[in-house]
Amino acid sequence: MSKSTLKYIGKRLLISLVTLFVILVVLFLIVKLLPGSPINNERLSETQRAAIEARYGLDQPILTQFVNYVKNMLTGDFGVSYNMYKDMPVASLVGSAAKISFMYGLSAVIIGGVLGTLLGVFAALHKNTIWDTLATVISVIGVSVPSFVFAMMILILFASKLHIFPTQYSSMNPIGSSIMPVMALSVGVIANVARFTRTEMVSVMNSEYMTLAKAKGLDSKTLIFKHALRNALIPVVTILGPILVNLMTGTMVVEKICGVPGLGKLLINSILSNDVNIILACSFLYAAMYIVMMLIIDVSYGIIDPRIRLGKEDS
Amino acid sequence: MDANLKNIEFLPDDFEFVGDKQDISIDVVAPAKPAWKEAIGIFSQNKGAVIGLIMIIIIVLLAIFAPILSSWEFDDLNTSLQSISPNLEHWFGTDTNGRDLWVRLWTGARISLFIAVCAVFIDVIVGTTYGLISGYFGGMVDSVMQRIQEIINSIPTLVVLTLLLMVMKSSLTTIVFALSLTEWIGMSRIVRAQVLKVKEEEFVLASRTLGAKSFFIIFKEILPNIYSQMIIMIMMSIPNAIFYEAYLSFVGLGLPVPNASLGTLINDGFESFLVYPYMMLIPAVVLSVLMLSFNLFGDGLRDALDPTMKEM
Repeated sequence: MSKSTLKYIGKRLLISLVTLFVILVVLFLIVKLLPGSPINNERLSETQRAAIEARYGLDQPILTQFVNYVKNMLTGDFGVSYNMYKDMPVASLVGSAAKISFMYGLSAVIIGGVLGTLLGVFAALHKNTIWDTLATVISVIGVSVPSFVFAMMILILFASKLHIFPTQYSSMNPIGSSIMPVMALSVGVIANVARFTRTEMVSVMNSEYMTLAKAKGLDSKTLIFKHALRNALIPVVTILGPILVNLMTGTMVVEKICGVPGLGKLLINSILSNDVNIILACSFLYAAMYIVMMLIIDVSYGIIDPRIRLGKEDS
Repeated sequence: MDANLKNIEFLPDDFEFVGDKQDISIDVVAPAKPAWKEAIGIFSQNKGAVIGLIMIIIIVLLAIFAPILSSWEFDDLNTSLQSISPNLEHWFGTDTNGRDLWVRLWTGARISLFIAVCAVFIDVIVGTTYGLISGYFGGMVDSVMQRIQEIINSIPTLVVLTLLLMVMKSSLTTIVFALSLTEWIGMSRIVRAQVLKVKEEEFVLASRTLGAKSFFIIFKEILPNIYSQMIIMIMMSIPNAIFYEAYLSFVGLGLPVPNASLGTLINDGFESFLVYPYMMLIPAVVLSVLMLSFNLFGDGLRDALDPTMKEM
């Protein structure tokens, strides 16, 4: 790694940290600006409410609250739930929910990545035939149709009509109930990856080094997988960002449809029941995940292809 | 010579037809056409894009006229007509409150389209201004504006939208506001990139040499040269806005009842979709077709107007 690469990574790291801090401040302010008291229990009298607020430290000035929050956060303490799960530590609630969402997202990326690559290679090798058209149609549909529509259709087909999988998530059968949401989530990934792989494969197959490789008399398997695909897959790093965004919105809605107790469902429920500490922790986790992934993508792309220096190349 | 030729008698089989020789042909010089005619030509070759355009027109027409022409109203509650499956009287059935879904669907499509168009309109204004200033003036201004934009851009749209609608009371205006708040960045990036390219061109230099002021150069020289990229970006943003509106409604932060948008209809249908699948399926299909059409149309437009944008 050269000095400039390190400098670039350092700069990106700094920007990410600043961004994370800005996000935390904004989130904190928004949550504090929410109308009404964070304790939503109608039966409490004014004095009782004041006592509870004092116990949680909600009566202190907002700056002190923020400093305390950040201090606690650095030790892994995200406060406790006020309404939904009385006094449960938010860190463990969010942690267990995030584990499920993360597993689903990861499975969708792996399944979608493999199938999408195969579909893209297949389409590129059968360029301008009916198979290519078919693959293109599949990927355009996959990109355009929102994942919750897929989740719904899969649910109607497999759970309601064929009774293969349970309609709602059950903790008894975590693997069986994960199949449908993962299927729904991976459709978008397949479509994105296939579309991109096809374009890249076509341009790589037309390049001169492929003609040379063919002239050397390599068999088509080595030709496709060793020479073409390896080069075609490098730029796929660029679409990981959009895929990640799709997956994040995807998990929120798909979890709602399939009743999965993941991060998305926790965030939606906490918003509906005004549980501020959970809202804060979930949104922050979403933002942090996004920023970290973007950082990894940018940096790895800068290392793979040093011509790309984001934010620098266009000035 | 002539006398010799006259003496030769030609027979029918003296000459043999060698078939079409593709490699011997006259170069056809394409007649010069205006750029927009060329673009229409390329666009109409693209079947998917034309189908997309036709579907968009059909959906827009239905969204405008179907509610007017129907005898039902979108918010007519009728408890005696609850959850009727699609039939001749109620083409798409009724919902759990006895409201006609055909009318509700197209009213919903109308509102979804309206929200998307408004949001994208604001995006264009804000994004273009930001991109033009940042790209044209460059230097310190550009650096500062780019850092700000980078920070805003790294907050996921989903978190911004969700939190914003939590604080503001959900209504048509707030949804449009929330959507435009997150979506202008894409526009400003495209505009900035194009401005950086165009401002180095010689005609800009010529204009400056003639004494033109920045204002004139930006609006008369640069802006007309980046219209096609902006149109493409607009067409790409509309399906995005439609999707995010549906997403917001689906997580329960959409338009308040009795208003309908495609998202709220899907959300309402979701409550009972295992019993009455049509309530959710029909709006979901319309939403998907709409997004698909816009994507196909946008792709076709991009290939016709500016093929180099494919990389972005």
